[in-house]
Amino acid sequence: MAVFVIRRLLASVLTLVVSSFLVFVLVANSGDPLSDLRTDTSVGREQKIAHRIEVLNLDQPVPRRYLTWAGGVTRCVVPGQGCDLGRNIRDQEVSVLLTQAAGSTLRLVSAALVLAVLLGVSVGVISSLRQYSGFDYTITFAAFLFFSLPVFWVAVLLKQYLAIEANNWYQDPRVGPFPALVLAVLSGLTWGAIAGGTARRRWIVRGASAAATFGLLSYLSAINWFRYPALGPGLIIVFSLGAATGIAFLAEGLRRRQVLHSCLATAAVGSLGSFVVTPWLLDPKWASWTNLLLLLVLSLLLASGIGYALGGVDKGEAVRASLVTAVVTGFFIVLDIVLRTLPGYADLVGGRVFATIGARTPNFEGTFWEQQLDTFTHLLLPTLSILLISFATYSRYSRSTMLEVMNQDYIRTARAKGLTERAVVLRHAFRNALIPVTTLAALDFGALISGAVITEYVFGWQGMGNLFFSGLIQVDPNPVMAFYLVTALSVAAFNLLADIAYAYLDPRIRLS
Amino acid sequence: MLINKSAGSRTLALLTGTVLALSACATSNGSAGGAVKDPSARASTSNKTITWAHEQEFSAYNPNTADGNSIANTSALNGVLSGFWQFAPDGSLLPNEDFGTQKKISDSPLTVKYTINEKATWSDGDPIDCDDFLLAWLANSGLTGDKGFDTAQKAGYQDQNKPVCTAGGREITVTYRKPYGDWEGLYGPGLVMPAHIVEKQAGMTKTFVDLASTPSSPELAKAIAFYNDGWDLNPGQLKKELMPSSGPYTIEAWAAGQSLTLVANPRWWGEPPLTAKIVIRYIGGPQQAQALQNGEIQAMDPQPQVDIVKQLKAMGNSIRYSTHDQYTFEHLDFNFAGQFKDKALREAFTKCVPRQQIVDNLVKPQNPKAKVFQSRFIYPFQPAYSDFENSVGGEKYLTADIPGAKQLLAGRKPAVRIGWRKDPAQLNKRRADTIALLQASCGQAGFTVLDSGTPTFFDTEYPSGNFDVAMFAWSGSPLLGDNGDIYVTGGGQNHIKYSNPEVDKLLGQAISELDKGKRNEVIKKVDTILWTDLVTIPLYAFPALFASSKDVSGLEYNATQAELTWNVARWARA
Repeated sequence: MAVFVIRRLLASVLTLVVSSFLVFVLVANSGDPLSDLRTDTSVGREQKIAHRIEVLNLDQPVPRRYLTWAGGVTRCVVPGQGCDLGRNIRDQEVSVLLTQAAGSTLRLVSAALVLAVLLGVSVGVISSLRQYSGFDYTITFAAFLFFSLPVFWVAVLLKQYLAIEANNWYQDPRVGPFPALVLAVLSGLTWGAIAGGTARRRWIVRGASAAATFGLLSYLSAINWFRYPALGPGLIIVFSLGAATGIAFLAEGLRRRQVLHSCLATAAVGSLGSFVVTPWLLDPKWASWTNLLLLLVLSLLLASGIGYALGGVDKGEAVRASLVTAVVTGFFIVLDIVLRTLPGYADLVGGRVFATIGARTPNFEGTFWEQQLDTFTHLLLPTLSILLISFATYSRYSRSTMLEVMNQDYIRTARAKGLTERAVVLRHAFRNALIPVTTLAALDFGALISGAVITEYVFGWQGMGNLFFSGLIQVDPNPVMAFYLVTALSVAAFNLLADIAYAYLDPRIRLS
Repeated sequence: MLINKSAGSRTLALLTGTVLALSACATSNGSAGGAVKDPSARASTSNKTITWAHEQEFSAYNPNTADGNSIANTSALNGVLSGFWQFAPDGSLLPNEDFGTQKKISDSPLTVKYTINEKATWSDGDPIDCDDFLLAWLANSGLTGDKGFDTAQKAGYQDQNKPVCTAGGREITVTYRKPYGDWEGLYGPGLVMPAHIVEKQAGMTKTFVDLASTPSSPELAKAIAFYNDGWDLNPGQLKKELMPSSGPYTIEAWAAGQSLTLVANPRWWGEPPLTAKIVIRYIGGPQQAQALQNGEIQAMDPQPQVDIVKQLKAMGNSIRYSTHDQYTFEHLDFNFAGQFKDKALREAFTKCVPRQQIVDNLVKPQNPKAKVFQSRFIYPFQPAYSDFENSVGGEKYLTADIPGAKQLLAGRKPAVRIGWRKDPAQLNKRRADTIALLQASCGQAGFTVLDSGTPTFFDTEYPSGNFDVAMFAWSGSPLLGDNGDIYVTGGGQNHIKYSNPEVDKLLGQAISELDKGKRNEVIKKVDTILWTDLVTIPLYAFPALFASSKDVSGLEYNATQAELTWNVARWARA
């Protein structure tokens, strides 16, 4: 293992050196860094040109400028020297620019990547299990549609409908009978397609879900829930218990009573705990990331205790399933708090909740939860626009690998042994189907950082994409090289991680 | 080629502004003018916020250095660093009596008396006086040489003797070694920097009052180093204690890549600003319209695009928008070192240029009010333009005259290489379309118009004269510059090799002419000669766009590099 990692690292360093030289030379020769000053009619023109030549070392040959840059970078590796990534065309330190840009891009990309993997893989797996059903065709159609949409166009649409129109709606948020009917029909079609089974069963599912949707929307409108949304202890309990059942089913099947019981117990304890926790978390003096983290650790400890106590012969499985249940229950509690914060937040931003631009409201001052909500409303649209496109890739990949795996001989063997369908799909097929998706996710991280250029621009996030783009346009190599360093390093690192993950997922692979 | 508005020089813009505008003294006609005392505006500062979207991010507190002199900085600092005057939207000067007054007391030698307002103090409490004025003069005078103060504008200041004032004094007398017609446009916004900060940061034992007469003093070296770099800022990292304000606002916060926040200066001695907080949000041009619609910003003035204009139009009554002319104009220049030294050929080409059609097809979609641009010195938004529009000679060449061009060509079929900066990465579509219109129109007359655009046009082809007709834009006014002149024989920027002793003489006169009316006449003569000689063909002023939400008032588009914030203290929100 260690030998493998070291060998890979050495190869990566070599690749980095060669490609960084190539990138530097290409950028430095891509145009004229003085072009904007050449048509300048101002009296200080000569002075400005001389200054820029000095800042960018334009009087030196390109290879020497590269060596200057590389010299600064190597100081990052030597401890106690301090990084020097050079200065940009406006004479600002690139290392400072990079820190800020990387922070903003990571926030943007990581949420989108995690969500895209989770959603894409689960939808892909479901559509492979319902191959050639209405659901499968719809997902296939949607995936190709999303994949072919240009980001800047999606962005404009999202801003128009999910921000500007949504904010207009939020002034008096009600769902009228006709929109509710349309949404009910849509919901009926979706659930009916997912359900599968006989025609009769599908019609029952369609009818039930449509009626439930229509009823729920009308009821929520009637009590003005959209203006003052909250889950409340009742819904937290219902949702958590439902989630606990689902988790127990996916993990071990409902026949393993001990697992089911420990999940249900965890959900019950957690949602009852919300009576204590919610007032604490709403207290501005108390709410903070540290305390949230502390609560999470506490609830995980509690969950593993419950799993261990109730697990019986399946202690390991019960503890794992309880842990997941605890996290989901915690999510519902937090969601409840966030929803309760919404009306107050809306007042602070003049009633226009969803943002079209920027990373936060300028000079926003509010409680901990209002701050988080502000970040969330600004992250929502850019994350969605990245998500839509990555989602398409993941769902297609996982669908096709899942189909391939499901047709393998060992799946037939597993079925012949009399295993339940759940065990065959999740234990035997799914795990193997994850291998290609892992490769994809590893490469996708690097690709997302560089691919977020347009997303960042249209949503006003000054991130890595901006660093790269403005550097390239102004023929300013240092910011471009900073961008290159981060993307190249992350691609190298994630490839390594993917190789290690293969070994974990597939016992046939040994790294040494 | 993308013309950067920041390229416009203060001095150049000024010449057209102060000297040529017939109503240059009309300081009281600006309803929202900086120094105008409007009784209804006496109201106290409201607690509201106005957000203005801008594309380029703030980077330095000192707008005088080569680095700091960009539109991003000057527009943010308009309300923070005051001067003796302020640009009005038509390019004329509004005196800023809150800061001080300037008065010419003698013509020979030109002598100007500056009086700083006796209440004027930096927001850290230090009075604004002789010391600050001397730093401004010394930094811009060029006396400290190549390794000295790295300032971007020296014209005018380098003709001044050392200003006379005493330590702590607020009356300064400046005499000139030679007449400088533009004297009114010196010591404007952003020029006077806090000398006490420089003295402290550089650890100086003497003040600029002591050192101004010895520019080579070693004591100054550290001051120069601080002045040149000490006020450069990394994104988001304000150095508030080094950045006191001399205006109605101070810089309060900077979120890197996101926004810059100005708040009312508690020590401001003049009329209180109407709005307590101004936020400049950094948003790309195409994104601004939806942000305006969603109430995230209240004002915007992006580079106009047809799509943005359409978006704004579709928003209907919820916003206000208007289109304008920029302080930048597009033109065609003949290369006198090539085949176009033949006047008949120049005239034939000029006749076949469809100027009206170019404006109708390529500019009007963004600015419906656009007209064919006739002058090289005065812009359509300036009062003096009406005097130039139909009398300098360009009015004869409004629409293409194909038979006339054919007649002049007399059967010749010359090939014409149009040189311009054609960068595939940032293709200027309007220029590409202009070439197509020229090809269609001049093709009928017998010219073969070749698109010789290259990404390297300004590095190689243009300076070496490798073109027949050059197409680009000058920003600000192209008239003056200490680094060479466009129309003067042998001038540093005269790459078209034009030479006319009459023009040389008249331009020399214009620079030193102190009487505004007379100078205006001289400039008009130059413009007329340039049309008679057919040196350049002005096409259009660049279009500009301004939009704001309905609930704000007092904002007025400003074509000069002062930008929208020129009167930021008079912005109000209902």
